[in-house]
Amino acid sequence: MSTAAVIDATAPLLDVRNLSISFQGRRGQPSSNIIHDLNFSIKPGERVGLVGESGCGKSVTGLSLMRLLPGTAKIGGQVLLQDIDMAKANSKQIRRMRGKSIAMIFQEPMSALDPVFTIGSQISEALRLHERLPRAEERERVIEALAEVGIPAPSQRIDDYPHQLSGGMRQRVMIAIALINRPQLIIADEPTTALDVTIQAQIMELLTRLSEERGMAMLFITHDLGVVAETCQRMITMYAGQIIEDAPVDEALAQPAHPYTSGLLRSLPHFNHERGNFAYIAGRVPSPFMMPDGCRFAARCPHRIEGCDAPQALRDIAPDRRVRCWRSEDLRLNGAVDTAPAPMPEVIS
Amino acid sequence: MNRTAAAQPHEFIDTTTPVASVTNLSIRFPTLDGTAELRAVDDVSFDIRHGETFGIIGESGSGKSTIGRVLAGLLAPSDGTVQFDGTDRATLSRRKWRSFRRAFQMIFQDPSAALNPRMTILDSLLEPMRFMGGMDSAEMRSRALDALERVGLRRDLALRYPHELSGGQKQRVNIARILPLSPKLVVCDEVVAALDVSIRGEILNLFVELQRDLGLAYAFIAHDIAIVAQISDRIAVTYLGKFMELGLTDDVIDRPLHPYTIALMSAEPQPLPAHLRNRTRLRLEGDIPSPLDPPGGCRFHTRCPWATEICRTEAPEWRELRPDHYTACHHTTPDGLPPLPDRTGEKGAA
Repeated sequence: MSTAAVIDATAPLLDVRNLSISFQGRRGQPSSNIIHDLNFSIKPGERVGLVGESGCGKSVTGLSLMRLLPGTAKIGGQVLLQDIDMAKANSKQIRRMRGKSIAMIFQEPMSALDPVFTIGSQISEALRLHERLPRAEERERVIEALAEVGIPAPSQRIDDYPHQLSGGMRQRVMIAIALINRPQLIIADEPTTALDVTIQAQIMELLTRLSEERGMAMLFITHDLGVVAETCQRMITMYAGQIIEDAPVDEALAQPAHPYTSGLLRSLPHFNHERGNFAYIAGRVPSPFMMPDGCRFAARCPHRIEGCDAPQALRDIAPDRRVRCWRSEDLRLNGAVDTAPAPMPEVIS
Repeated sequence: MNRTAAAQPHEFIDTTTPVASVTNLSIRFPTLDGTAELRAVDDVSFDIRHGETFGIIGESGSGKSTIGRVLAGLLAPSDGTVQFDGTDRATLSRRKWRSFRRAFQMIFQDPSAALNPRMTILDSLLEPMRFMGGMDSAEMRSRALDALERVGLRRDLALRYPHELSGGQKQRVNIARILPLSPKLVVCDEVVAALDVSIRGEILNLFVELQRDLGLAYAFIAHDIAIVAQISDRIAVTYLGKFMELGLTDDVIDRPLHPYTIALMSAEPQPLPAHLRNRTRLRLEGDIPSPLDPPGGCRFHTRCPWATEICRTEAPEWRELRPDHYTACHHTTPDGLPPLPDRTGEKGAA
């Protein structure tokens, strides 16, 4: 129940309190409680990774911060962003916040861009919602934005249509749209998943650089722990609709406090692992209709003992660490550190 | 580092001829308006040995999936030859080829799309055997149920429909479907990419186990170099329809010969605390060129930090630089690449 105690004087930029999300079931069917009692906060300029597997509720959480969920969703609790509660704000307030204070980057740049408009007109559309500028000046701003996200020859590319750009370039356009109104918080939902690995590296570097230059906070929603390790300062791990661990990223990777985080780290393939012997977590995530009252990971947990079927609270175990496991102090969990980094030939040092 | 070979070739299988032998393979697709040709695969040669796992990695447009489709007999070469178990596909009659190709099977990325949602699991399992013929329904049924058990599923799942199964279970069914055909080579195209990280290992272990028991060879196609490295005996690195490097896994990973291999390994995000991550990394600039209009000379020269004039004009030769370790690069040596040239101040000169 407790939110992480904020030690320093900086007030959080985003404060999510007791957020719950449920979807109305079809006729005669029960409604499903996707998220229940979610608490976390993001400081100004902080980059936070929200990790977990499909169905854990991480994308729904991201969408709820922008109030982009469909009408069948019921949202409870508070999403406080600059004195506005996004969970209760009216549509006029939401329009003012979107783009200007909080913006989002999606996974699939092709489906997020409109194929019949030039990229320039799609970026100015986002700009015009918050700022009225003379045409020439507006174009100038858009070209600037394209240059900032690393699109070569921006004054020519501004009149291109999405299909004329590569996947990586389209994702850069999406970033330009999200950033044009200089928001304080960016939500990036799997921003590099659809991209090739050498292009992914470029986009991650771009997002990190922009966040640092502008003091812009980011919430990275991803299943890729490598991406979180390299871009974020803090990692929040979700499992079956709950936060199960919240820690500084290097600590979460080196000494995870929750058996699920540890299991996930062990499951990653690695260059140096024994050939043909893959680690995994046995079992499956419980269905949202048959969620156990106790620890939701217990059925898959190698450290389960009697007592794990009691409800688990998200406890503070250090000033900046929270975990939802009553046994965490007794467990010595493996992190990612005993896997050495990928070998790198000396030629590029 | 403890990487031991996972697969021992099956004792009953003739291991002298490769299970698939590809010579100067090219695959060309015409564009829709017919004005141009896309060279998805361009003059590639390699063998796959019985019982081995042959990993193929590359980014989009590299031709890795096209090569996979050729190996599964779904695509005939535009140029070059493909020998299946020592027999050239082009010499077989249609009828012969139909029975011959059974031993060469494929498993796809999306386990749901590969199963008919209106067929029970049992029907899906029976379908390939019906095509094969020569078995009565009782025998087919018992083989189907055996296969289900072999991949770690309960027999009673046979009467379920695909939507009642998890992604991992569906992928197991897809594996079970091909087992009664006694495949010799299975093309695995991104078979775990659609699955959650925590259960991937379980499916990959099943592939390894089946190989050990049945002596299967795999062509294992993926974009994730860490997965390919952990399952393959040999690795081929592809870029824009060409092989860049081919060798034993340990050799390729520990002593890569080609700049693109180093770049791919560098680009992989490392899930490690900051102080343990590699500081030195090779970052590629620019995009992957269009496969419709690949660069001349070495295909990789537009993004290669080692590139010089010769790379722009002359395609590098495919050479065996170390035993069983091939590459195509003008600048590399049997000891690897020379130190990265210092290009500062040289801008515009090249």
